[in-house]
Amino acid sequence: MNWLRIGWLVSFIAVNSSNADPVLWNQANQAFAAGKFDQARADYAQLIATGNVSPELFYNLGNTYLKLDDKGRAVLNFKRALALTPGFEPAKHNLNLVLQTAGVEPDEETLASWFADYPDIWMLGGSIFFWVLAYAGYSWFVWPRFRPVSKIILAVAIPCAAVCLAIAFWIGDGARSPDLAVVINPSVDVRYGPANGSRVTVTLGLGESVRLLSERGAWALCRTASGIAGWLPSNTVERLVPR
Amino acid sequence: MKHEMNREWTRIDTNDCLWFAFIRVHSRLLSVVLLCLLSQLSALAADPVIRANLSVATTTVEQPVELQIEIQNARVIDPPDVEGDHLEVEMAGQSTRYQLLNGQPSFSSIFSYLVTPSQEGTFKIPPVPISIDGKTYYTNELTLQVTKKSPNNQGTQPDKPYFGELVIPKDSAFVGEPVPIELRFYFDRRIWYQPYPQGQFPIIDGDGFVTKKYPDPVEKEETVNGKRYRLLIYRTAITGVHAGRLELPSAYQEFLLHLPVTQSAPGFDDFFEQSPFGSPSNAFERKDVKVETNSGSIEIKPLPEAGRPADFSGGVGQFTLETSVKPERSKVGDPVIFQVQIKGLGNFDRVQAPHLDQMPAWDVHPPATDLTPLDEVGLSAIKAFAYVLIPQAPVTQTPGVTFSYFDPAAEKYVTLKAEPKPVIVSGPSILPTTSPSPVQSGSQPAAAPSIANTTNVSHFSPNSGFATVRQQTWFWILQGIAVIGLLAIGFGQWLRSWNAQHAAARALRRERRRLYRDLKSQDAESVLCAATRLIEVDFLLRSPEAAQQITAEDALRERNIPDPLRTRLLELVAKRSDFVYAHRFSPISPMDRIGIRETLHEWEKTP
Repeated sequence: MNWLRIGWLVSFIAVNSSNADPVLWNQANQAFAAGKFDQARADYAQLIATGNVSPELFYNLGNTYLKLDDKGRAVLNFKRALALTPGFEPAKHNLNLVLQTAGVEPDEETLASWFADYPDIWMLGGSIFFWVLAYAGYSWFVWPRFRPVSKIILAVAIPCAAVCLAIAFWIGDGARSPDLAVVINPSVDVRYGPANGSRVTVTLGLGESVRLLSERGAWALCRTASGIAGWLPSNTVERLVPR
Repeated sequence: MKHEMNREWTRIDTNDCLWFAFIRVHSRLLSVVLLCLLSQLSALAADPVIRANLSVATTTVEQPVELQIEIQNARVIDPPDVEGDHLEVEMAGQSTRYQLLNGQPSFSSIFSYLVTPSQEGTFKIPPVPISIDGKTYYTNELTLQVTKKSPNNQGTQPDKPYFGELVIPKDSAFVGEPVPIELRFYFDRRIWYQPYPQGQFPIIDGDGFVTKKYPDPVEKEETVNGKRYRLLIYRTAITGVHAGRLELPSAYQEFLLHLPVTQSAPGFDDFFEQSPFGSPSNAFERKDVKVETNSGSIEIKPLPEAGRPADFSGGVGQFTLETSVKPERSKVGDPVIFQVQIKGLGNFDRVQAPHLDQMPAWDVHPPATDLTPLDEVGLSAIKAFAYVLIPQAPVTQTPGVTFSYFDPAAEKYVTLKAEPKPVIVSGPSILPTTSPSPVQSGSQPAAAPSIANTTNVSHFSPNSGFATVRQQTWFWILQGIAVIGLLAIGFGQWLRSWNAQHAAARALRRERRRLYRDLKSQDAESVLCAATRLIEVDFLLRSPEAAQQITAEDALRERNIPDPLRTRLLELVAKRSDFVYAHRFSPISPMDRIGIRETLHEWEKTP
């Protein structure tokens, strides 16, 4: 019973310590409702700078950018909201709507994208099954009388640990990777070299995700979702994870 | 008969075994083949995609161009019949391509044709019917512009090892009309050449025109004045931006050449006289040269003011207009994509979005543009404008579309009109509603049907942020606890086993300490018993593998010790036996005690 009380207290402290400044949050929402979108954007940005983030915060900021006719950053913030909570329907709805109005096909839902949406589950699952496997394997060798139980646990834990860890290492940080960036311009040419005169390898559309590999001055080397590597101007993309 | 049956069974069994063995040995190969077959089947199961394109959209009389028909996701064996007025079409080849793109299999049949025009003009290659599984599909219509043979300057070039040529097929064009040109660089076939720096394209300096992006150059061989030349052809198009005589200066391109030289005459002029096989030396001279073409000119005519439509946006060429809507059934508030396609030959970079008729029931968003070139220069292309239309009320058709352009062949403006497409939109009208309904909570879908009605949410659910568990300290602390737990269990297990192994020795050492204390006893029997037992204990500590039950006599016999010591110890053991078994008591003096102690110490020290 005491453990339950302690757990409740810890979770209460954790939740309350990560709550945003309610005054600033309400102020930003009121500014949005009053049509003062620039002020709302500044307030939301200040909230993000304090480190207290939530899907609703990015959703609201995305809406604010929409009102300011900045579709690129609207898409970016809707994607941020979805990176925090993949099932956040309002953000999903508005993201699809913006992409449709911009004439861009929304990202196709694939198994890989579904895996990437939940990077923590695979890592946590993999680590839990790995340790269950380690302890069961140990007991197999040390306590022969527990072998029938160990055998069942091993039979379950080995494939589960293998699958979870394989997916975890495959997707890495998934949709919350610090290297992920989103194209915020209506279109951007990816070039062979970091120069405007260099040949174009592929043209990316608004909201497309790329993985940034390195940066050189005003240019960034990236890899597109289709695996093509090339250079694009740094100001045409913004990282999904705010710095 | 029975014997026959048995033999038959035996044969079947043997075959089965062979098959089984074959499958076991080649299981990996078979699985790969099976996978390929399955992926090919899935590729063939998809809807066929048919594309036709010309290698260039413009050519000169009797100059062939390549036509390619690509059929994706279907296997077609018989080449489609291609026909066109004043065009001679010859089958040039057929190939198939199988590829995996991002895990998606794709199968294509490609048919190549050579299309040679016999006269000047603009010719259309009509849609080619292709029959697949009983259904007839059609390729897109293609347009080929044929100009008269240019008065090129090949004849004016003397016997030079390399030279350039600018080919302009027309004498006049309208403002905004793209004119295809070719920059040809000729090299004697014994010269190895490479554009320098690599990937560099020719440069045409000048004002009053714009050029299109260069595609990759084409290489071929040609005979000029009876000599064979290797030819590097850069194709592009120029567009005059204002009326008047447009003077095109020489275009130039730098090349890195490897020129053959001879021992007798290393000079450059006479190497042509050498046979490629008869040269006395295989030496080459490396040279960086700038190859220039001739200059040229073209008359640029202004677009007529008379009859210019209000919605004319600058498109010059020959175009067609098509529309489509997807989905054809929708609800109020749900967007539909209305696609307008402009196909043909012309200046697609100046073609702006067509005009849509005003309809209050549709909330029209600016279109997204997609340009698909049908030739390598991009003169022939399809420009698609995808409008997002959000219905604000029930409606049965899309807006009508008009598009105006200038046709340089007919020298007049043309307005194309696409009729509205039927569409079914149901649901209550939202036209009079202006205030949006707020989103109730984060777990419910947003009520806003369009961007204009988007509202913010008011609640804030705390979140741990973008850091994944791998970046969290608590995750690694838990991993550490798991490691420590495993190590602690292992250490405990080892400690228990170590204790079990050393328990006997520890007991013996304890006993030895007690026996030494007994040696100080006043009781003679205790002293003698302790001394005898010390002999046994010391032996057992030295030989843990020895049996636990051993007598002092055996211990003395087993160990290699000096005879005087052995004798003294045996006397001690005998005295103890006399005491215990024969009850012959003889007193032990303090000197005897010291003697016993020293003897025992000597016994223990003996290696």
